Amino acid sequence: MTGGAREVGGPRAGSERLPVLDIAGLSVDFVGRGQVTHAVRSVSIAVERGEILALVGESGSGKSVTAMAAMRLLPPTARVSGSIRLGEVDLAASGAPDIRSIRGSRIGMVFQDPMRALNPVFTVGWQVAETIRLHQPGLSRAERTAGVLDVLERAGIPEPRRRLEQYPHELSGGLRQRVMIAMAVANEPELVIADEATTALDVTVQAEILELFRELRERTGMALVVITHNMGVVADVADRVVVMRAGEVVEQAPVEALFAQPEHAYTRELLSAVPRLSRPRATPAEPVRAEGRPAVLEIRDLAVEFGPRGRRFRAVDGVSLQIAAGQVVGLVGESGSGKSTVGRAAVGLYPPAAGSISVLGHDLARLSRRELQRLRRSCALVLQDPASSLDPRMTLRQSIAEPMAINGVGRRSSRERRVAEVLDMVRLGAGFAGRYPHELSGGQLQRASIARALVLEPRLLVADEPTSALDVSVQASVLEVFLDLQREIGFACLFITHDLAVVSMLASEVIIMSQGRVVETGAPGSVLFEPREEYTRRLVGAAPVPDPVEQRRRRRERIASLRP
Amino acid sequence: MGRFVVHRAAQAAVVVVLVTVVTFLLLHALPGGPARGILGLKATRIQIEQFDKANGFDESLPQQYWSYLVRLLHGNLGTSYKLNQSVSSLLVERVPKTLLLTAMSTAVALFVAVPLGVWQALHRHRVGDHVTSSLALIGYATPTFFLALVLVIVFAEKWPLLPPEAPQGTSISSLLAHFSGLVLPIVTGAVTTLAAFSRYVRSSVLDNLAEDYVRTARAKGVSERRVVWIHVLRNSLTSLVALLGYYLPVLFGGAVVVESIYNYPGVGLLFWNAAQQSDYPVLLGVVLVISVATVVGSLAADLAQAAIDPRVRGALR
Repeated sequence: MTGGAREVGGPRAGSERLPVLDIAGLSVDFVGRGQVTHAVRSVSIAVERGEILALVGESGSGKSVTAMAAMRLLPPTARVSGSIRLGEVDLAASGAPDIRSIRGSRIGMVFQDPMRALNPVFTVGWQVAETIRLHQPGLSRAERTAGVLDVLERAGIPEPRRRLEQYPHELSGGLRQRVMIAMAVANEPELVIADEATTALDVTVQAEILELFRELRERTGMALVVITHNMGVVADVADRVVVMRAGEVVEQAPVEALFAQPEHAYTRELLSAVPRLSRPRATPAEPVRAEGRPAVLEIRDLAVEFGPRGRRFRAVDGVSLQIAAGQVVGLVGESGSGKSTVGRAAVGLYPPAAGSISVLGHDLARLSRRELQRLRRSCALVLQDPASSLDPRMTLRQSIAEPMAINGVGRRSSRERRVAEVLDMVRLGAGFAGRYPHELSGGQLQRASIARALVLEPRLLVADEPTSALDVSVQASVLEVFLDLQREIGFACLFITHDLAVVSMLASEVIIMSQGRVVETGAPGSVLFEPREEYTRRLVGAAPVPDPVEQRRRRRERIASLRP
Repeated sequence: MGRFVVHRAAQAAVVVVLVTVVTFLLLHALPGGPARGILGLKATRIQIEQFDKANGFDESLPQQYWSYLVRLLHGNLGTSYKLNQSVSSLLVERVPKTLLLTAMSTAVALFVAVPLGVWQALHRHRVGDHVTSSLALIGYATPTFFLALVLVIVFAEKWPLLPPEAPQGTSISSLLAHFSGLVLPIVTGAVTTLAAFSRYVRSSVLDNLAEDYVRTARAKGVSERRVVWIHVLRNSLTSLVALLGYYLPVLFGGAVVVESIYNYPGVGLLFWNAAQQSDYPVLLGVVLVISVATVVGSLAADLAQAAIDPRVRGALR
C-alpha cells in the first residue's frame, strides 16, 4: 500500500489483468451439535477492478457468509473449502498475521448498523486513526491526524476536525455510516465490501451513501461488493449482479440484462415480488363512508410530548387524520418523523398533549380506564418485529388467545375454535397453534401476529412497519394476506411505513410526515407522482426504483435538482 | 453534568438523613432502653431513672432526635461506654486503617480478577475456564473466618513465613512498616471478592465479544489480543466501576471478619468488640459512618461511570 493516487478505472478498465477478488468453488459448512449446515455451496464469483458488484439474495442465501469468508471473519465452527484470491494472494491459505495485514488495508468492510458497528467508548478520530496506525505504522502522529482528516473529508463528513473528538452516539445515522466508510477506505483498499450498508438508513440518507460509493469508485478505482436484499439499491449502483439462493449462485449478469431479461426463475420471482411505485388503478377502491356515521379513527391537531418537565420534546405536532371503515391510510415518514408515535397514540398508548383522538366516536381522553379498556378491544396493533412482539415462552395458541382471555371473551373451547379460525385466515392453518415462535420463519411469525391482532375482530388496525423486517418475497405474500383480510373484514387501517412502494399498493390515502408534522396528504397517485411539497419530492426522488435504466434517469434528475 | 451531580447529591443527602433516623430509632428500640443496656440487668429502677435524666432519655422522642442531630452536626457521636474515649476520635483513628486494608485487598482482587476474567472469557468452556471458575467459586463460597484460619495455620504455623496477627501500630505508617503482617489480612479480603469480580469481568467480556463493533475491529485488521484488551476491556471496565461502588457494604462486611480474626486495629474490629460489649454509641457511630460511606460510594460510582462512559456523559450534558 503505497497510498499514491491510482489511475481512474471504469468497470472494464482492468479486464486484461487479474480480477481484484476471485472466488472459486467456495463452500462453507457450519458444524455444530452434530449437525452440518451447508451455508455456501461451490460459489464462484470474480470482481474486476473498479467494478461495483451486487450480491443479492434473501436472508439465509449465503451472501454475507460469502463475504465474511473472503475476509476470513467466519466463526471457528465454519469449514471453508475452495479458493479465494485477492490479486495474487490466496486468502483461504493465508495465515492469521497475513490476513490481518490485508484486512482494513487491501479490503475494507462496511457493516449494516453503524451505531452498533462502531465502538461506543472511543472517539471517531481514534477509531479511524487506529486503522491507519495498524497498516501504516511509520507515520508520525501529525501525519496520521492529517490522514484521518483527509479521509473523513473524502467520506463527505462536514467539519471533520470537530468529529475527531466526537463519539459515535453524538453523530446522526448517516454521519456514522460515513465514518464507517472513512474507516474502510482509509488505507485506500483495492476492494470494499459493503454488507447491507444502507439497510438501516432512511432513503434520503441511503441515496447519499450510494452516491458516495460511486464517487469513491470513480476517484480511486476501487472495486466494490455491495451485499443487499434491496433491488432498488442494486439497480442504483451495481454494474453486475450475482443472485444467490440457499447458498448457491443462481444467476450472474450485468445489471441492465438482469433486470430486463432475468434468466433464472428465482430471479424473476424475486423481481416480481419487489413492490414498485405504481400509479394505483384508475379508481382506487374508494372507502364507503356511510353518511352520518363517524369515522373509525379521527385525530385532530394531535400533539404528543415526551421527556421530563422543563425539557419537553414535542414528537408529534398538529397532526390530523381520519380513517373510515374499510379504508387504508398510509402514514409515511423517515425515522424520527413521529409516525409510530401517531400510531401508538391512536390506540391510546400515549396521551395527547394537545388535540383529540376519537375511536368509533369516543374521545379517548374522556373515557374512564374501564371504558378505554373496553374500547381497546376494537383496536389492534401489529408491530415491525414479530420475533420480539410475540412472547417466546408462549405457544401461538396462548399468544393468539390472550386478547380473548384478557377481555373475558368466550370460553376455553370457543377460544380454541377462534384461534384455529384466525390461523386459517392468515393461511397458517390450525396446525401451527401448538408451536413456539422460534419454530417459525419470519413471514410465518408476522402472519401469527396478524392473527393475534384480528382475533377480537377489531374495527381499527394500526400496522407499524409490519413487513419491513421481511424478505421481499415473504413481504409480498404477507401483504397479500393482509390486503385480502382487510377487504374481507373491512377494518379501518393505519398503515405506517417508510416504503413508498408498499403504500402505493395498499392505501387510498397517503400522509407524509416529517419532524412531527404532516407535510402533505392526498391520494397516492397525486402525492407520490405529482408531489407539491419539496420534502415529498426529495423523499420520492431518493427511493431507488428496481429498474437500472429508470433509476439512472431518476438519479440524474435528483442530482440536477440538488444543484440548482 | 453539574445538574446531575446536584440531583444525585440531593438524593444522597435524603438517604443520609433517613439513616440518622433509623440509627436513632435503633438506639431506642433496645429492650429496656439504653440504660438497661449499660447498667445491666441488676440495675434498680431509681438508678435507671437517674441515668435517663442525666442523659436526656426522659425527653420526648422528637426532642431527643433533634438534640441527637444537633450533636451529630457538631461531630459529636457520643462517648464509648467502655473505652472512655469519644466515638468520633475512635472513628478518626480507625477509619483510615480500614480504608487502607480494604483498598489494598480490593486492588489485589482487581489486579488478579480482571486478567483472570478476560482469560476465562477467551478460554470459555475449556478445561482452564472450568478449573479456574470452580476454584473461584470455592473461594467465594468459603466463609471468610474459615479461610483466614486455614491461611494462618498454613502460612504462620506450619510454615512460619508470615505473622499470624496484624501489626498493632497506631499510625498508618507504623502499620506499613510491618508489611509482612498485612499480607494475610489482605489476601483473605482479596480472595472473597476476587471470585465475584472475575465472574463479572468474564461475562461482561463475553457479552461484549458478541457485539458488532468487535467484528468491525477485526475487519480493520486489529489483532485478537488488541480486540480484547483495548476494544472490549474498555467497554467492560465502565460497568465494573459501577459494580465497585455498590460493593462497598460487602467490602465492609468482609472487613469486620478479617479484622477481628487478625486483630487488625480498624473499624471492623472496633465494631466487633463494641457489639460484644454492648457499646451502643460506638456501634451506632460505626453504622452511621458505614451508611454514609455506602451512599457516597454509590454516588461516586455513578459519577465515575459518567466520567468514563461517553454515552452517559453525553446524556447528562
